[in-house]
Amino acid sequence: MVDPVIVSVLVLYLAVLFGIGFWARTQSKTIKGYFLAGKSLPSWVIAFSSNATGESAWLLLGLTGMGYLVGVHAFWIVLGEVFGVTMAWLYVARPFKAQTDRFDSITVPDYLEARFKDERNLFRKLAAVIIFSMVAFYTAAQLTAAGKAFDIFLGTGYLNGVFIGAAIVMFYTAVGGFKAVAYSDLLQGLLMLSCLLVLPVVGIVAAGGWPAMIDNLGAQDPFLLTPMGSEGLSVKGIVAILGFMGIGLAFLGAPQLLARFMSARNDRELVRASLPAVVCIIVFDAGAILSGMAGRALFPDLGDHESVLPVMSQALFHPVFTGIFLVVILAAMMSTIDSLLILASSTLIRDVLQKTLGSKAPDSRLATYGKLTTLLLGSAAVALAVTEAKVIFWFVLFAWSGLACAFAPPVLCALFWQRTTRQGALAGMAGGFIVTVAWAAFFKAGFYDLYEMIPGFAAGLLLTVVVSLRTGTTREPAAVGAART
Amino acid sequence: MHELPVASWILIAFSTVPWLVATLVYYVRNSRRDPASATQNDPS
Repeated sequence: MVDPVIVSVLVLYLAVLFGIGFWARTQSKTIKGYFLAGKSLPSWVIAFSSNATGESAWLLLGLTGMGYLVGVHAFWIVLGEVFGVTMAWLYVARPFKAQTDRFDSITVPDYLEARFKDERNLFRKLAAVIIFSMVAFYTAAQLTAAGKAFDIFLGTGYLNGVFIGAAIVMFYTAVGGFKAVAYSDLLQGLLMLSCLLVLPVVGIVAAGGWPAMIDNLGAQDPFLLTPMGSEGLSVKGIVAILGFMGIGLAFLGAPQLLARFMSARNDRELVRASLPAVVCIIVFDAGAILSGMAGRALFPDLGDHESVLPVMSQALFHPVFTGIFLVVILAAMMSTIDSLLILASSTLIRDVLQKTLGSKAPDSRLATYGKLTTLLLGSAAVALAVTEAKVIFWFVLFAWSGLACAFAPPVLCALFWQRTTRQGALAGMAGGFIVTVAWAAFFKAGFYDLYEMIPGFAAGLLLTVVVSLRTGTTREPAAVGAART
Repeated sequence: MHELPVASWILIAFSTVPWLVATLVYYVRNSRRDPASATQNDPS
């Protein structure tokens, strides 16, 4: 029997999302409005939208599960992510904003095309292939998780769960555009923050306090308390740490995150957003891992370590809060799905239809096409989630890596290295993506499961630099100089 | 009675504190800048 309290909490949350979509609709009538909220967003929205987009259901189910499985060792993930987010806000956000404003860019390929004077639209074509291939499975994986969450908490059945989750996200994204996405991200980010502040505290108290929890974990497995984990300083142990830390590299240049910097009202809002963004990511990550550790002390025999958060929410809280935890899990998924749909939609309309195919359609009609594209792409992801149930969590980390390795190296070089050339940036974009895919498909198993972000990112940077050195004389001033004026 | 090793405390501290402090310094320094120097977008 489904608890009516849980259903009520869920219905309230979904009503708020519908309201946000309806409220934001007025700004979605131009392509700059639909895809970047007219570059008018304030600091708090950008800060939370950025983190809620970056952290999907993987944070709540995957990272808590990691804390459960390996204990303190998982803090290497915190180090990587907090480092990545800090560097992005301190060094990337403002220069990138200044450059994209200067070129009047709406998408990341827009920026690369203008920065490197790419008259043949090669950046746009390559970006379209990369974004569509990654976003399709990334979104489908999130919808798969949404379907399972609806089914577990409400007994809707998996397929109905996928349809319900997709319908809600597609509605507010298509109606309200980037503004609805960003403001719903703010709500979703605040919910995730509250959950990951409360859950570890309640969990640790329930486990008898910090000393008792640590004692319990040490008695179960002493390696749960050591930073190097069970593999120690072996090659496998070092590779695991590199992989954990590598997850955070994506914050430096994944296109769905760079869009948040572009959407800021001005430079000062980015400065104001930096502190809440970094505090938020620390609470997200440390809260998730400490929750997992407390869950391990409380429920040492869970069959599935990634179920620790739902189990804790049901065992330790009143049904109202259990309903809120369901909402938080859905929020984490939705805040990622909506951003990916807008990203793919902007690529199709702005980069392919308007700039590559040369459509002369008026701005308002292109915005309408953008809405239709959002619905179409969402439907395609639903079809994938329905027909391919194997599309699950591991693909989230793969797609996260594929997008970041393709875009971060050329964007970082374009911003900070004067000698970057068009050929170098193209090579870095293609190479970063191809190495990510090839590593995951062919080499990963033979190299202690090294996460594809590390070789992909390294290949992207190396190719951008080497090919630029061999091909160019471009001396475009780097953006960092402009940002300091 | 098990305790958290010092190395684990160092990892926990290093994964949070320096980055928080660096951001705080950045925030304080840059928040004081002249508002006129902020680049303003046309919100239309």
